[in-house]
Amino acid sequence: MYTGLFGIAVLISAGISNTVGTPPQVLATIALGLVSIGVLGYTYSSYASFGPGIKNNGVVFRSLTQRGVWAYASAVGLTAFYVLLYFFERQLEGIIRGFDPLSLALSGKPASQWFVYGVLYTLAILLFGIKFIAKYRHSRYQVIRTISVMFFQLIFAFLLPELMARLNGDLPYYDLKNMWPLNYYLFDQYAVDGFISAKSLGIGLLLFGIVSILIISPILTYKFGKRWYCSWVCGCGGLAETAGDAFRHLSDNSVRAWRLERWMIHSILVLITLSTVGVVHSYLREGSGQYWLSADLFLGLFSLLVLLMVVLLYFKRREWLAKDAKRSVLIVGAFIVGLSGIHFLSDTYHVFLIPTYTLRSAYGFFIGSIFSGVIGTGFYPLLGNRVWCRFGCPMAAILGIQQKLFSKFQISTNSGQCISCGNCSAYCEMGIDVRSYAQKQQPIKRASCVGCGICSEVCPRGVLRLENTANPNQLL
Amino acid sequence: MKEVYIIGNGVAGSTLALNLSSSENYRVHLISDESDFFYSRTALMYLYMGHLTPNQTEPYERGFWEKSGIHRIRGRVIALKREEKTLSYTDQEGKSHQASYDILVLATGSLPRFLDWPNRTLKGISGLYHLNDLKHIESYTDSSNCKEAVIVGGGLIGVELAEMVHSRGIDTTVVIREPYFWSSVLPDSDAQLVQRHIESHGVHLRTEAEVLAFLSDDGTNLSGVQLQSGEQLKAQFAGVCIGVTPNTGFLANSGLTLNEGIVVNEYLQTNDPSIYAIGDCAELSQHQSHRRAIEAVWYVAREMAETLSKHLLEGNTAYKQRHWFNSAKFFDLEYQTYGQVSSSAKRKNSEQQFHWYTQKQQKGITLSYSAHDRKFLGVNTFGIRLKQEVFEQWLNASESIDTVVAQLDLAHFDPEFSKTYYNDFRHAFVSNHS
Repeated sequence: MYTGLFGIAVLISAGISNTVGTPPQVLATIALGLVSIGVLGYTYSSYASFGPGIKNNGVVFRSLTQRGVWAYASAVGLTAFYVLLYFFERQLEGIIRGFDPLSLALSGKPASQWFVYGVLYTLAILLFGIKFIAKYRHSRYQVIRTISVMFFQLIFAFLLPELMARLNGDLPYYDLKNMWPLNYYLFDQYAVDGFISAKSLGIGLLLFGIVSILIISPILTYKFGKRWYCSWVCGCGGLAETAGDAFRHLSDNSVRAWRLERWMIHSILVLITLSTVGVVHSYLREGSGQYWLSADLFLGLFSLLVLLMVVLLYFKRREWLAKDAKRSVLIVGAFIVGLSGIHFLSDTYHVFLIPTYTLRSAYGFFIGSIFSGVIGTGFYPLLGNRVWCRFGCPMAAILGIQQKLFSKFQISTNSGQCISCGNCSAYCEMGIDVRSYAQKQQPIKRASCVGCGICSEVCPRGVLRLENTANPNQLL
Repeated sequence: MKEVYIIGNGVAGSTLALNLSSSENYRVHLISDESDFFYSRTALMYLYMGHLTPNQTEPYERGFWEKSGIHRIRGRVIALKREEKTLSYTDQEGKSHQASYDILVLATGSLPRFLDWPNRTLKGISGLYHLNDLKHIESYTDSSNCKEAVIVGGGLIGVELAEMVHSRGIDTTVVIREPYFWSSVLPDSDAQLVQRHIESHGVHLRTEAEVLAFLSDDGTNLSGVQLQSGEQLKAQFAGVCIGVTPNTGFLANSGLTLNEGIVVNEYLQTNDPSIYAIGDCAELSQHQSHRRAIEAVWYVAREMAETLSKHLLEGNTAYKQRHWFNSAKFFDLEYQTYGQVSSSAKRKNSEQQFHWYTQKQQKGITLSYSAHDRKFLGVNTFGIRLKQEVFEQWLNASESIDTVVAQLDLAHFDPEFSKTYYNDFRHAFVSNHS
């Protein structure tokens, strides 16, 4: 562990002392090497001498994992890193130059701060992935799932986009597995134009982006629940599961937190949907003739889709919805359709009455940067490892709605075997009070469940099982 | 509106209180000497080992209790006057109070059982049942002065306590009366499997051994344990886990029929029609022949509370012992049992058993069935999760052992991608029976 800290120190000093004679790439290599040795050494010393099984001894006694001094120190450190990364990248120049050789080898371009971030992020998932596998080596589900997130991060999020950029310079950075709305800039004009100017490959990718959110994702969620994405593929989820594993028990599982979660995540989903529609609408309108889709047709189709969903949910399947959900469906539906109507009648310049580019850049700043980065990752040691996934991620919101409405996934309980000990609820990173269902012998079907399977691992009586065999609701 | 007083806020008392609280016919008072809020006793070990915080062991949010309308009283009941239907209790400050009840429910649980060993009151000796026990264990096993520990008794609590102190790096020896770990309950070969697993964690076992006396160098603190064999074990902590006895001390002069526990009929009613007893402290006057009159486990306590709730809310609901089931975790080895599987000592010739273990002898399944008609009787499973619902259906339908073996996959409950053993199991069963 101390070796790892030392490595981080070298990395920092590389940043400060970029004028010293030592070439930055040497410092960067030494730093990353030390961090790797630190994490792997910690893994070995923590788990090698124990047999396979649950390793939670002392979790709530340690300063780092129970909001002690070390937890606050690391939260401050991580947050500072994000602040530098987002707003003061010039201060990082010394570190960034250290990554030039790697970046040149992959994409042929010098490193940017985002490349450095990508390397560190991927390295974190790989190293802590190994730690996670060692810790949960008794469970094949955990081992396979972790290899999956490591694979998707390394290949899809890191290597492929760099290589694609090398092959085709016009192509915007595109992580194939990152869907809209997590990838909220997918339908921005520069991205779309980039795809289009990259000819067939680009248009193929654009189509793939549309198909993944509209067709692939509902089908996979129907079969496996949202876990196929959130805890098997997603990079944010990947970091949470691996580097964030030690903090999973810090997630708040009070009913109050659950209420806050539903409000926040769904509001953000509405926000990003509106701003994306607004952005697309405005460039369709400005460049009319340039695209085959006209702005008004696009808006009309969107409003129709929303209307259809509201009618389906509110009037046909009302019994699935809790009281507050019913109200929200109605209000949000009326709001969106109403605003579209106003737009058509009055022909205001701004669709939804607000300047969508402003909305869009505010979203990018507050949600895309501050929330998902600074709070989502920087606050792991204080708020738990899935704060972003639970309260902020619009992708998780969509998949959650799909999971709740029409998925075969659920966590089954083994009849009356629960002893209400609380391990499942404590170690649920999404803050689900799993025990409240298990002790009533009910299956767990919650929109937020990412299917990490840790509740089932820590249960001392083997009460919980993740299954794809539930009778799904019939939406149509 | 009837005043219901429930003494004890364990799983029995709390489950009952919650079920009755929604009814307009009852005002529920829940008295506990131990804790302000219901916590899961089974989680005591996870508190000690640092897996959980005290709050996380509480099955319901605290605000939930406020909303439930249940009147929670922190106090210790000291006397019961049945003729006047009153009870008196002292609160935390030592003041005494009186209360009148229409219905009284005793859910007082158990106390750890001790034998008449010399020096059994030395500092450093404790059972594991109550929150206070945990406090004592915590102070006795302070890492600066506790290097060795002895656990007396090889049952489910004994192995929990062994795992607890072992997790603090204390050299731990378990002293067991039986030839193998828990072989008073498990068939010998199952007991051996568990024993090997426990030993593989570095815990020592002394089998067919009994405690003669506790030893002290200074007259106050424990320093060792003298076994009947003559061996002396060094220990600064000794955990006594040879079972529990019903906690009925304050009822001695109450006129309630007491045997080992508080004797109740099939409606869980004592000889006083307005007083009931549920959970560990209740002793059934009538029970199935192969079952015990007192079954001091979590599941039974909860089941009794559910039954009594129904009886008080809807009337006329008798407690029936459903098919026996239980579960435990021996260090990393999970165990579940459904139905009847006798220990080797108690097994009669009418009960046949088929044992199957993996090659490394780390997991296994034992099925028992009746010798004359091959009716399936019960299962023990180690390291393989099996579905209770399916076994209950088989037991209810009096299925034959051959059907159970053939359809064992239906009970599959291990996590996805786990290795399955059903074919191995079937091959072994068939070759053993041909």
